[in-house]
Amino acid sequence: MLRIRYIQLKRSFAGLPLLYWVIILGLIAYVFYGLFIKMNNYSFSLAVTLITPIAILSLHFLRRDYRFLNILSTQTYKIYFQEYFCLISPILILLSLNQHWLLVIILLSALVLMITVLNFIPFQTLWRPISFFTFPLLLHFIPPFLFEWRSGFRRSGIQVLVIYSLALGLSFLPFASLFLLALLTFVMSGFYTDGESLSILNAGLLSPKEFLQKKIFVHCKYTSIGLLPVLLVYFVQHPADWYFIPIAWCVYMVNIVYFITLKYALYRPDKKLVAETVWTAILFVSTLIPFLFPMPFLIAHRNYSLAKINLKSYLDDRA
Amino acid sequence: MIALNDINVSYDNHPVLQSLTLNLEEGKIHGLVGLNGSGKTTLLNALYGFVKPIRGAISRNDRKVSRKDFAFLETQNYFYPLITGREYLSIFTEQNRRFNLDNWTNLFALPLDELIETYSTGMKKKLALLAVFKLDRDVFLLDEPYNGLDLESTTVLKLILDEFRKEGKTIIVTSHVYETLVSVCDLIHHLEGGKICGTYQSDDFRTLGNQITKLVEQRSASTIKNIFK
Repeated sequence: MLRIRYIQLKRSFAGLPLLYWVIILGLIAYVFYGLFIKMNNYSFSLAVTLITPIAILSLHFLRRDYRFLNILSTQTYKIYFQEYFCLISPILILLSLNQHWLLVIILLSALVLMITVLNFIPFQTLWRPISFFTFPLLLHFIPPFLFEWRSGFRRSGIQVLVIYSLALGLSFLPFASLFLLALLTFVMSGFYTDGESLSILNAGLLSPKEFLQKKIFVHCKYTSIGLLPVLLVYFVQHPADWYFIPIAWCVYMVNIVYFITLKYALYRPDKKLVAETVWTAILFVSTLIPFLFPMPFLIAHRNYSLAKINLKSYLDDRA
Repeated sequence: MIALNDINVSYDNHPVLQSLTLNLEEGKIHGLVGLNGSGKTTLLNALYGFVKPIRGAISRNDRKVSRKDFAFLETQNYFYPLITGREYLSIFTEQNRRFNLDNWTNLFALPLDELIETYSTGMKKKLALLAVFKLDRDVFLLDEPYNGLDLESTTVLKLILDEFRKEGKTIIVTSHVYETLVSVCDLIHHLEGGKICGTYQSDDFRTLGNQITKLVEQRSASTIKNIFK
């Protein structure tokens, strides 16, 4: 199973230009070093140790391969342990480098305990190829042509709702809502990972330029409408910081444009986007590191041109 | 008249359609028949514009064709994850004025408010067909529309195609099951090795059927004998 994961990972990175490799490796090294310094602090390391099993648990609930794994092996817990151990190994290394041995033991014990408990839950029979949550009321407000959103809400509507509620509820804290809305747009990156069929792509009979412009306009418009209540509440709570709101809005819009242009720059009919998580990670880190702040805009600008070229093969250029 | 003149299509230097010339009279149902790899799907893709001929021209009534002329049902129906049948259909906004979704749903017995992932193969095919009919273009390109359909739906589809023909639509349909073409087509074009070997009218369909059967027997007889030796 680890071999399959390795092949999947290799495939997702295939075709990534050298420059991005350098940027990604640089960012990984930067984040790793930053965490190493931060985790020298015991309280911070304790927080990381407690958050990691929760993250792994959420990941487990998002899995869609329970049935496949149960067909593959009678001892699925071994597969889960191998995979999750690989995922937490960077944290284990950082804890070990900082000699927080007790936290290493706690994290490993939490993993073993979690997998033991999860092993008794028959996910393979509970899981259906239907989303657990359909959000009929919420979906009512999403127009049918935003099919990526309808699909995305069925997949990760819970995360969206939790983050949105937190952004509303924590609006009294300076910057909390603005940060959470940025986080929300990162969750929305998952909405733009599936390439639609050629029939859907051609439904509007538009040229690549018209198609992209319309898509960007409509998605930015509805994102703005969706985020507006939180931004208004934030403005009411912090009127003196009003100028942060348009800046934050620009960041959200750049994020949405980034995801759309990325999707169509790499678009292949009926296929999932390649290396999507890598690109989202680049965007996320760029938002956090001040000197990389213009990078998402520059990448989106470049991807817009690439998307226009790519879509030429799929949208009618004979008309 | 849809005219394909000297069409050449290649994939990675491998020729699929070679100097293909074909005139398709409008208001008729045209069948395309040929063995696997003969170029049926490529021909439909070229008509729709998904593949570009390296040589040749496709015209309709002496003007260049565009996708506005066609509604295309692809062989493999891919929809989009986690959307319902109704949501899928609503993406196709170019409405046929007389398109009444309730009537069509009753005819095809589709659970439109269920996620498409829960549909059977036949239901997915019917949903894809509904999208094509909703677009209401002049020419329907139907690549293997009978795949996955049960006996009842196959008969219903034949009746529907017949009605569209009466309305003056041009339908180009492929099928691996020769009988499905015989019962609905006005003309059947035999495609082999990327070329049109012949065009047959209803009186000659039996002759064409016999020819294809003979061709398959000739090609496979020795291999089958080797397997069962």
